[in-house]
Amino acid sequence: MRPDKYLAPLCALAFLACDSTDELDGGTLPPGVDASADAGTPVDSGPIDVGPVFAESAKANLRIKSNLRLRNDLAQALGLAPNEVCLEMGQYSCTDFVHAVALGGVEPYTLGLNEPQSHTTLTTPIAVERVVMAACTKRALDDLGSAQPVIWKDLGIAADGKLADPGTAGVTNSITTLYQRGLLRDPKAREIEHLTQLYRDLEADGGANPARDWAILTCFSVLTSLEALFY
Amino acid sequence: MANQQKPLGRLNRRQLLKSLAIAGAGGAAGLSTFLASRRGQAQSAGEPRFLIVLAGAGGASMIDSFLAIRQSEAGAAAPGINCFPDNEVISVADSPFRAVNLRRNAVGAIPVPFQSNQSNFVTKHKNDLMVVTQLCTSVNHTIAQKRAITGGGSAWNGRTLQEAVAAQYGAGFALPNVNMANGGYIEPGVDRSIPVHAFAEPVAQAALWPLSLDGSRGIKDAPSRDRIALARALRDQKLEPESAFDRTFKRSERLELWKEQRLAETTLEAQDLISKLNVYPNLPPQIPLNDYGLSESPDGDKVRQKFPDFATDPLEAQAALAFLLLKNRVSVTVTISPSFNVLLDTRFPPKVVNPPLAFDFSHQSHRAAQAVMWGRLLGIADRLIDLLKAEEYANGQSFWDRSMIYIASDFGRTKKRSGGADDFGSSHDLNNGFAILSPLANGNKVLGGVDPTTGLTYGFNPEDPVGVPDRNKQMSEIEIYAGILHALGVDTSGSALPDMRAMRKNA
Repeated sequence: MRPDKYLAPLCALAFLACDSTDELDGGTLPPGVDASADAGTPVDSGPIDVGPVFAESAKANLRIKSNLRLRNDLAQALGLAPNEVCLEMGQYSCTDFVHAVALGGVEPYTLGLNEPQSHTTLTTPIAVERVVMAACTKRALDDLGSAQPVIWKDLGIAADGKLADPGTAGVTNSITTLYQRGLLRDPKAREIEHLTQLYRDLEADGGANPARDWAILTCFSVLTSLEALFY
Repeated sequence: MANQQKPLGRLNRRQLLKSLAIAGAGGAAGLSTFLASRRGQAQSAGEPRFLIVLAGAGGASMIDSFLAIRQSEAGAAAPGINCFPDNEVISVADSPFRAVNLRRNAVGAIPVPFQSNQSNFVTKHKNDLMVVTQLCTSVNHTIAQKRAITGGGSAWNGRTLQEAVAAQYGAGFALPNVNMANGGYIEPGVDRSIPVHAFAEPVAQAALWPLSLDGSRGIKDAPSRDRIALARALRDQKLEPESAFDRTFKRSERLELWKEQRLAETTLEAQDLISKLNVYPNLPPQIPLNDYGLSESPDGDKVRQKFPDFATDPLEAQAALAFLLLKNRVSVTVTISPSFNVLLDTRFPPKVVNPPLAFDFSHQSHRAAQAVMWGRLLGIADRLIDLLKAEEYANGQSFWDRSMIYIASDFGRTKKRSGGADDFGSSHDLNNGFAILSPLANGNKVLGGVDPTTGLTYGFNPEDPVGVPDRNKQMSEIEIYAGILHALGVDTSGSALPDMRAMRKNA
């Protein structure tokens, strides 16, 4: 699967957005940026393990997913119902209620907040991580106890909670499934390598359930990445 | 001009990055110092002073409280202006203030009796109470609300009072400026030059908001903090920098801001604000804190005693959080506000806690709306003051000794009624004033006055600490804005704000 197959439409959208009146920096290009080669234009095939090098977007007009988009995308990626994604204390929706404003939502009916904040605030990254952590934890726990897992399949978890072998196809395939569902692309070899190393680092601390935690934290690190949160 | 207005909506991006990075560091000395030095920002000068903005949403009328008029004073004009039977206007001993004590059988069309007592509040707090008159410039709610916190919109390049205070004192605080209000009271200012940390953190659900101050605590079966740190480091240092997305969009200002904001995560979490600011006790099944590894604030009992209805009354929840934010030195300014939603206490005897539209219910029933809402605001202020007085700041000085409550109001209400009606409707009016509570203000003073035959307020000599009334003068929004900042010791050099000696305690 070619990554640029998926990045190209994204970059095209970003390009269109740059033409809007809400562009940043008033269209002034930074030094050294070629305006004729915008995002989505491969300029170099790049090393095989990280993929091609794309032209740097001159305007880079991105948006962060707001509360409902985040909820729905996570639900889709992780095979959860939207109301299962994150519930504070098991009952209060993180995205629709508790953290709605921090996540870029509005609160028109009870507070009269009719417009979202124009920028992310200091608590936004924490709120986002909280939502993703809850969703990833649910997915991992459900998968590890299920005969029909959605993402974490054939990991080979031993009785002591460790992976029998982090280099198995089950691990690689699970990471691939996560990337395909969450980022709509395949992982690069380097990314698989990094995430496999994460398991070794987790296991090295001697704590319980390293395989379970690895599944949660692999999901967390991928789905809280810039690529997952901005569009 | 285009370049000034586009970045990130209202704010210049570089300024925003700079400010939020420092704010994020806040309270945590290590990162705060690191970021402050890295970005060349000066630390705040002097010990902090604290500003609480308590919004009189909908139009808190001064002639329905501290400047009330008796029928006998209005004379022949009494049937046509908003004045009270003489026995309902209390003159408070040893003070220039009046108070309205009312009892009625309904709040307009809402058949629920109410009674209000302003005299107890004034008697208790008169030495810290200062009333100033003012003529505002808008009768549109949202616009007037914003002008009430920006001195008319452009007093100091458009920065809000809260931003000015946070800019002055907030450098070492985690979230210097927390705003729980709505409408114009939560809008940011437009001053692009404010340094560091001054922009507001909006809060919608005050009682549950502390949960947004930790990325994993309270999530069942989440990995340990150390393991999460490994995942964050992997993401931040390897997955993202090596991704095509990051390389393609690395000039995105929003990504840059996001990365800066993420720097503050571990620092905020390390302060355990998810516990320190949590008013809720363990109350299964609705609030099963213990089941989720959460805990209440060490000050929980104390705060709940003062604000027992925090779970059902958003304003009580905001006030409780406001106190905890100040007490724990997380913020230097907090903004709270009643909403425009009706809130009924259905316990016996039933009570209208918040009329629909708050003070703006005066359109339907002026007298009752003003009485209920003034009672509501003064009750909140009284309890906040009690808590702050009982909390030592340093060297025997309480937090209250360094604080101010500014009861902001959108505007006033029209002064007229027909045929001496007790229940009547009012509209928006530019003429009004503000109540300010603070040991730092020129307390036990009414600056300006009111004409009992028209209900219109007039101004005062701003240079005179006695506050000599001037019937030919109206105080401007800029003057009141300046007076508040000067009383709080904010350095306004270069702002061209007028000197308002009359509003300072030590003029």
